[in-house]
Amino acid sequence: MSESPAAAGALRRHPTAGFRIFEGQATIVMPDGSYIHVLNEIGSRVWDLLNGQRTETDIVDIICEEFETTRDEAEKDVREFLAALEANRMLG
Amino acid sequence: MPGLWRRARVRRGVIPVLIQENEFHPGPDYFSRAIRPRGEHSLGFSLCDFQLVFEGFGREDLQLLRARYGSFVSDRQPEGAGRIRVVEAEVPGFLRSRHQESGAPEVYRLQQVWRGDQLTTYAYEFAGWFDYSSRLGQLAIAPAQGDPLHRAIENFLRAVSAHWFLRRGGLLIHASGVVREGLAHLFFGPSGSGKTTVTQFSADDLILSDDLVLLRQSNSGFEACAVPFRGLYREPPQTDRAFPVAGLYRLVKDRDDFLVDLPPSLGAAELMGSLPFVMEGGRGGEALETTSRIVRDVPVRRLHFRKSADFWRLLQPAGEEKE
Repeated sequence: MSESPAAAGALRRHPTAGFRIFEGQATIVMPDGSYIHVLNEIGSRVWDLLNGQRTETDIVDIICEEFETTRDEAEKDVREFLAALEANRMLG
Repeated sequence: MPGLWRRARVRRGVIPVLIQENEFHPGPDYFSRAIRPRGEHSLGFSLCDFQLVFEGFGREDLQLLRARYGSFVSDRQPEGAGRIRVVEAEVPGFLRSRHQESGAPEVYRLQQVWRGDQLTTYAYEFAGWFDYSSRLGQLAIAPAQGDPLHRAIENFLRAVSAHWFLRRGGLLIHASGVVREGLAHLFFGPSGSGKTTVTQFSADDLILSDDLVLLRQSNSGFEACAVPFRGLYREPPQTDRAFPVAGLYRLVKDRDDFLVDLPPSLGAAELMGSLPFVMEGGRGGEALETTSRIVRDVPVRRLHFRKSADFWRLLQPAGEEKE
């Protein structure tokens, strides 16, 4: 299984991404302004954790602690989510 | 789980345009060459607290613009107003329409380029710049486009004013605005969602616009203000007053009338999807900040409505239905 491109080190949001978290849900706008992204509660928590200080494993650990999910499910979902962020150029 | 999210595409424009052969992208030196005024007359525009005086109109221009913009234009030249020199373009036009895959001409395209505090913006029939520090600018209008003069003026003004208001904590929203019982209701959504239709079912109310409305913050909360831009609605706005905002409604045509409360995250996203001009060029973050303040204070709902005036029953307090 291949790792997501940024999985080796600490991950961070793209520095030019504008975002606000409203009642646990993130609204994100990227510099080109073509799309506005709205994340659900868990996606918003992952986004909030992407501060350049945590690896993918760190994030999975936190998601497992804070949400009712299995480790396997959390790993899969976080990996897919990070890959989607990468594909949308939302990681920096 | 976290892989799911929603995306809203930002609106780009809706006005069909004529086609021409060559595209010309004006650089800084262009505006120093295009200096011949269209005439010797001045006209002031007043968009809420944004005052601009255009200098260099011809006599016929004045007649056309006064007829179209009514109380939004005058001969006054208030202190602190921005000043725009109006000149002949000296070129046939600027952008040219590209065909889409369907073969239809593209919707209206407008370029924006920032150099510090100065915005250069151009489309098919005009090119202009405005410096937000000095409040000086220039507008070159192509003579042979076939487009009415007001289209050039209006699209330049739309872009320049959208950024002006954003810098002051306001938003120019692609919305229709209707005032009932002293309160403004703003209906937004992409083209075809029903903004003009809503105004047609509000015949006894004060119509701010069926196309663009300014939302700005005052000491007592957010208020809506008319600007002299309109879509299919024939009449210019009849007031330049500001009105407290009762609600923001994302329009959805449906078989029944009902309201859906939107969480602030989705409300902000929906609203930002209806902000012309200001989401480009890295300025989306500023728009998000302003939108965040709005959704904290003003309810944002999705309004599903049939093609009738019945939706108004949902927007008024119980027991206060209008006969």
